[in-house]
Amino acid sequence: MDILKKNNVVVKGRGSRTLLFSHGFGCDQNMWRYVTPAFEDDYKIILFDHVGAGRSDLSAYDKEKYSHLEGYAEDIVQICETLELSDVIFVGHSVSSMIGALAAIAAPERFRALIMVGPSPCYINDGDYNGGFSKEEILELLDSLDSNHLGWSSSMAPVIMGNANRPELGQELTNSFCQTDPDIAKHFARTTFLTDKRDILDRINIPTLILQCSDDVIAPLNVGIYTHDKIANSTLTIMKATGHCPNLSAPKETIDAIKAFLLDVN
Amino acid sequence: MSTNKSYIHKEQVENFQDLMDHALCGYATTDTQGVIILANNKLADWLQIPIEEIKGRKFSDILAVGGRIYYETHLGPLLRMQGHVDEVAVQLLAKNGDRFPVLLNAYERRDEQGQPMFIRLLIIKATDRLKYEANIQEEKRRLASEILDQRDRIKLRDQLIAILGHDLRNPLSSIISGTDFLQQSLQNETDKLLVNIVQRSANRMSELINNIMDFARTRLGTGIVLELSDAKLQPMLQHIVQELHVQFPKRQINFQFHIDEPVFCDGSRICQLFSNLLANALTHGDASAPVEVQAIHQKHHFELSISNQGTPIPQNMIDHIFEPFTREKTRPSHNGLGLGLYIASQISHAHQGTLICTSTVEKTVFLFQMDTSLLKK
Repeated sequence: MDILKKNNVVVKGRGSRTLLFSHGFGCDQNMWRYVTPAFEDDYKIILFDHVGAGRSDLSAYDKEKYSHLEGYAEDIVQICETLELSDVIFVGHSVSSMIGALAAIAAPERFRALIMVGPSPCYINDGDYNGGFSKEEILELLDSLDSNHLGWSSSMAPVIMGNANRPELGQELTNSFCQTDPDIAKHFARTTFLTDKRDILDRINIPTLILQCSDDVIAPLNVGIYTHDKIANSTLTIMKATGHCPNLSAPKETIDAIKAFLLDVN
Repeated sequence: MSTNKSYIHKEQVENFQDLMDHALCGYATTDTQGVIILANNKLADWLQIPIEEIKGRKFSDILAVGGRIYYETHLGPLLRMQGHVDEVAVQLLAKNGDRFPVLLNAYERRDEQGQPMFIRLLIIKATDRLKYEANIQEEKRRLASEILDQRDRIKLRDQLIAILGHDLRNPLSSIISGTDFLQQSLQNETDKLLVNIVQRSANRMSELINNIMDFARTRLGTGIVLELSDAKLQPMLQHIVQELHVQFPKRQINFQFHIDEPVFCDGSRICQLFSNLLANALTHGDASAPVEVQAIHQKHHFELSISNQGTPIPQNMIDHIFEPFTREKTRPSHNGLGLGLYIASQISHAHQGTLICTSTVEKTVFLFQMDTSLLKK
């Protein structure tokens, strides 16, 4: 299987250094659309969709492989190998922050720095650690997804109808961005929100930028501080932007923060 | 309010503020960061929170945890990128902890430069809809398991047919060999005639059983297994013509065989195919006109055609003519069960050949063709 097709890899930009952008749960590479243009003059830009998201090859979705973040990290290393990339600056949103960290640990020769947007090594509270959600809340999320009480009617409708000869019933409501197969979304949610990667943070030894929004319910401030404490060579930037997706809600602030960090790295 | 309230109402003009406040659905507006700046009474009712307390909270905050995560990771990004989301199923989280299923429509209001100003949300009660969905899913699950049950039952039936056919064969072959023996030993012509009738009936039964067993085999997935060899087809096919001529003594069969070399195939299966097609033509064709048979073998190409005259077969029937149990309703079929053409087509398929039927006012033709080089030696 051609990894570039499998992951719908898109290469653009004019530069010798590489920025590799990795989207998070619930989205696809489109979520970088307001950020990447600012880097196209100086960097080679690599965009892709995780298998199961966007325009990736859904048939390549392997439940076993993708029940661990390591499975996603493998794909990233493979993309770097195929494109013969080195000194990559990896920009990961949300769960992709940890996926990037795993890739950098697995293939240190490929990566120069990590930029984590709204990272969380563990979403579930555990003793003194406050991940933002109780175990019950995460189970409720997974249950809502399982019982289809949550999500798109458009993804719901074809599931109910299973109507291959009337595709218009499904297509009519489908969104042009962040498409996802409901079964895969459920599984990715499980992999994402039950993950605990706190133990890998001290194994990250390349320069790391943590972009923390000021009011993020998915990755709260204390999680950003925790992540910063555990990663030796890390910088924590607390943004004015609120929410979980500053790359969409505050692209300029996000771009400025990344550029400032890149000055230091270069 | 005063006592002449109703009078005042008559005078009042419908206005949007009142419509929003007393709407049948929830309305909310958030700023670009998702903080609620406006909400109506309905939403407040559902949440069991005064409007003033709703304002200032993040919209995702009034959703149950699943929806909250979904809003932050998926819906929010979508609103920013495509500007709207439609009919999203989420649950409101009421003050007492109750989950209240709703459908959400939202769009990002943008200014003339395309910059986001705020997000408008329409919230519709979906309690009943959720029940319908659950019912549909339940029904779908029930049907799926019913279909699996049915499949098991059909398979069992096919197995029964196979076993029955197999078990009937032994006693029948005793009858056939008994009558063969009697035929030789009997002296009385009347007895001989009677035995001959028994013999023909037994042979006919044997054919029917073979058809049933072939049918069961194809249904159970084993299909028709070929025993391939270089078969001397010409005398075999001639024998079939003679056999059927005995069964249809008043009919004329014109045949032309050009088969000089042996044909690589399963000879007895090709004979079965021919016998079924010829019997079909004799049964359904115009009784006053001859049936024309032609067989040609050239290099790897083998071709067999059987044509008869008579009322043409309508196209909608031709489309299904090779399906099992397809029989003409008006006349009893020669094969009794409507399996003859089905089995012929299965034999053709096993030989990687084609069997097609064309029917016009002039004639009805069944044409079998195969390339013997496709068959593995």
